[in-house]
Amino acid sequence: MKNRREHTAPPAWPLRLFTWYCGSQAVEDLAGDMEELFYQDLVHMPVHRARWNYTRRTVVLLFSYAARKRRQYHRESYYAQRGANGFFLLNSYFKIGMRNLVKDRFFTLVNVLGLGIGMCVGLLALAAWVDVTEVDDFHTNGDHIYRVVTHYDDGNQERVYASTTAPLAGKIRQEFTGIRQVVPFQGEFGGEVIQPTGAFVPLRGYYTAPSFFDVFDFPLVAGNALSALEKPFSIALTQSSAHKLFGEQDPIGQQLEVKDMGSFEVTAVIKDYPRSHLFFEALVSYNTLAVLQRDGDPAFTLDAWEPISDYYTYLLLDPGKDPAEVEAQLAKVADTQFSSLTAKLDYKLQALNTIPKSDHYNEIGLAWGYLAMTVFFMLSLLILLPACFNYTNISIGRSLKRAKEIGLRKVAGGQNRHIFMQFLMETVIISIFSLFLATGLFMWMRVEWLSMIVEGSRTFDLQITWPTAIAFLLFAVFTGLAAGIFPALYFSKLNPIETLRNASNTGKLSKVNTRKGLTVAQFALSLVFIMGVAILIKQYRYALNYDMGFQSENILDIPLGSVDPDLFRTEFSKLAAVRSISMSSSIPGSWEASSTWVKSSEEGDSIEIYQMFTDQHYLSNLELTLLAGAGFSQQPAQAAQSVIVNEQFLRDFAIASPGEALGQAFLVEDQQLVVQGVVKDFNHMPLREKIKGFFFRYQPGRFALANVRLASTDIQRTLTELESTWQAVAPGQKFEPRFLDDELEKGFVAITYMVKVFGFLGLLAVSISCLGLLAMVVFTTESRAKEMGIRKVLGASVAQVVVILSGGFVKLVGIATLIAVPIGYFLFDKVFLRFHHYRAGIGLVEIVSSIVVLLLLSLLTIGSRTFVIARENPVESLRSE
Amino acid sequence: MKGFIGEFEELVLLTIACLGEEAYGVAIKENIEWRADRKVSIGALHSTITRLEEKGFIKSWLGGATRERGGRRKRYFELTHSGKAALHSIKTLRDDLWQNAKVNLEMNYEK
Repeated sequence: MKNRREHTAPPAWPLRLFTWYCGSQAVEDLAGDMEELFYQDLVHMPVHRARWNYTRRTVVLLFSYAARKRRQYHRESYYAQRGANGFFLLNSYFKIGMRNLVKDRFFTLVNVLGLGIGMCVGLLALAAWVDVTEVDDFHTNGDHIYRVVTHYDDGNQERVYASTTAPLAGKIRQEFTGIRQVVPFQGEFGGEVIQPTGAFVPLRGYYTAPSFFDVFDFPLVAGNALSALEKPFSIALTQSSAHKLFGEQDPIGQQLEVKDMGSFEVTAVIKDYPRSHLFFEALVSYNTLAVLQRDGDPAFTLDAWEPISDYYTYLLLDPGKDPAEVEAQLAKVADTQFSSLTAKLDYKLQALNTIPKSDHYNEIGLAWGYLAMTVFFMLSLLILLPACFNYTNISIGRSLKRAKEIGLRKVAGGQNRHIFMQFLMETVIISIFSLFLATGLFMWMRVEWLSMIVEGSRTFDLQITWPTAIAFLLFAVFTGLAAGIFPALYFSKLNPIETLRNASNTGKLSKVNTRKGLTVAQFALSLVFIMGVAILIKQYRYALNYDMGFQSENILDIPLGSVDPDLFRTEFSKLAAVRSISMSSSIPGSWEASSTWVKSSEEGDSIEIYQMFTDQHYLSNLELTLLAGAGFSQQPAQAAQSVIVNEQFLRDFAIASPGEALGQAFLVEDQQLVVQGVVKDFNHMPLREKIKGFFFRYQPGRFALANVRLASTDIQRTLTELESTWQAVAPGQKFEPRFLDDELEKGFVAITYMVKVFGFLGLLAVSISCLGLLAMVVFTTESRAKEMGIRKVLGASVAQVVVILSGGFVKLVGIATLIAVPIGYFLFDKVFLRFHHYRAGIGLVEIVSSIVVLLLLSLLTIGSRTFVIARENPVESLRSE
Repeated sequence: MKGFIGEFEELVLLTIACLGEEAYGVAIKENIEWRADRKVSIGALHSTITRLEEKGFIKSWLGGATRERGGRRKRYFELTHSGKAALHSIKTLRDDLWQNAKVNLEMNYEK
């Protein structure tokens, strides 16, 4: 027995595992117990059983509460006294963190700048998001308000429309149970209010029923909520639109003359409302629609179950009513109404508080859904991530400096956990400092951004409120954690013996490849942005100089208002500065042109054709090229029967040559129109769109603009002359001439916005990349200062030293260029410019100039530091040891 | 319910009391196994001991080096005052219940 005992030992690995897990000091007694039990087992069972029992027990003990507790205790027993609480530690981390940051000012500055720049776009996105979540949170009944939305599925695509059919509201009101109120909307009230002075003021809003004020909390400043929207042609104005229209006068009871619609009586003034997804300047009584429909305006189809546009239905449910029950009733209505359609339509309810975020089609007011938000947040990440990389990069780059400190801390009993927290704390402090910088940038960006989104200005004010401030702070802390987690992990894992023994610490430079990779990625991103700017500017200039096929110089478009076109012509022709005059219904090269459906015969398919109404002088006035036939006849009756088509029209109807088309008749709006002439294709829509089938028609009633071609170059004098003539022709009416050139330029405003956005993002990306590069250069040159000193002593010139120091970095930028150019080319050529039918393409000039800009900036960054080191007296670096 | 202890905890506390100066891991395990005729896992025992120590019912110290355990020291346990108090309170509760039982709890096999 004794013999056996001496030669048998328990298996070694369970104990090793156990002590590794718990810490060897803490489990001496447990290990002893286990061994004792093993030898007891050995007395009455075979060796393998005893070993198996031993292993089993160790594993059980490993997972026991005892082991967990010992492990914890072991970790804490050295460093933090057990009495020290979390706050004490946090306080100490903070203090030491601040000292470190103050000690290394360059590092702090670079990081605060970098993270601050990186965060500002994120702040904008956050502030916008906070604003969106506050939409419609002021309704007392908010929890019970629902909107009926229409699900549409035709097999190919599924869509959810925010709108419903018009008769639904009435049906719900009569037949449904559990509904307290129904609010119908027609979303398309819009018109020009004719002021007593003759000026036109645009006004837009909704048609809605008196129940509106019952369901939603829009308080009235004046007027009676019960009756304000009762009678046809009553209108309720918001405070600001009332002020716009009437100034200081009392608006109640006043008449508003709306062009082409009639006279409305102002019955109420609504207090300017906080954020709502509804966006209106005026509310018009719903009963007006019935009158307009009776008058034969086809735009108002109150009884048709067919189109799902324009009409919206909101419900206020009885408290406690289950929306699912209402949906069941709605399903029945949908079944009976839409049974004849091939597509599947279905009504569903949508809670009020989810409305602006839902990405539905045909949204009544503000649409700011998850899609827009996602794009926004992606962009902010695109800027933020490089800044975080920078931090990681720079911190790990500093490991040379701080490794010793960490080694000492560890020897003195600092645990991984403590080092980790220490570094994380430093990052969070930096990110909070950056928040101040970012907020500053945000305040400036806010103004620019708000100016770009016109409709949003009611919803977004992007003021810093408490919720936004808290969101910002959380964002900063989160950014700090994201940026700091890798350096913190890295430093906490450093081996104290290694760091203390070996000052040069070469092994730790294994991270260099990752750092280089990150730098390359940053510069690639920057280059893509710079390329974007260059390409967009080219597109912009291309669009400006593009020959749209008609004369746009020196043409002044004057809105006719109520002036008779013939009178205008006779009066203005008398002026010497006027070369020629024509009339048109819209501006070419804009979105304004209307379209209609055209058939070649009764049985033929309808084709959508864009149209403009012009007089006989239009073609010559705008120098459009006639390919065949002639312009409109001087006889109005004959002219009204004819059209002048473009080449695309011929292609649409498969007519081989212009000559063939002449005299052919087409069915337009139940009317036979004969082709009188064929013009060469010109861009009747903005350059983003392809030239579509198009024709000119003659209907003097539709003329809205006089196109005055000026002969004189003295614009100022001509304008005064024109204005005085205008005063004679149309006393009291506003003279609002617009140059055709300027109007066309407005079509490119989207591009200028894009240039702004790309330019700004590019600037941010470039600054972040350069800051990162600068820091890397600084740390590398510092650590190689001695080497350079020796090189100089041995006879290297300043230039040689600079090349040696800079070479690596220039190579990185070079690699970034190689990566970014194809990506940028693909992105802009295949994706972005797809939105522009007539596009400039991407030339070598844009690519080369972008690369040059990037190279110059990075060379400047690198050179600023390497030159200093290279010029330094070698004695300086070699003397100190 | 102040100072609640479970059945196994009570068993461990009482066994520590029984063992006196010799109360260490293996001894406690064997004593319980012998008396109560039940298998006790060393992991469960040490977890319970750790909990009792946290609750302040026992305290421990390390003994001297031993030969039979590869030189490893034993950790001995003894009851603290609050440990004794906990045992007392549970005993009082039991006694009280026994005395007030309405059913005859005597097991008289002769009947």
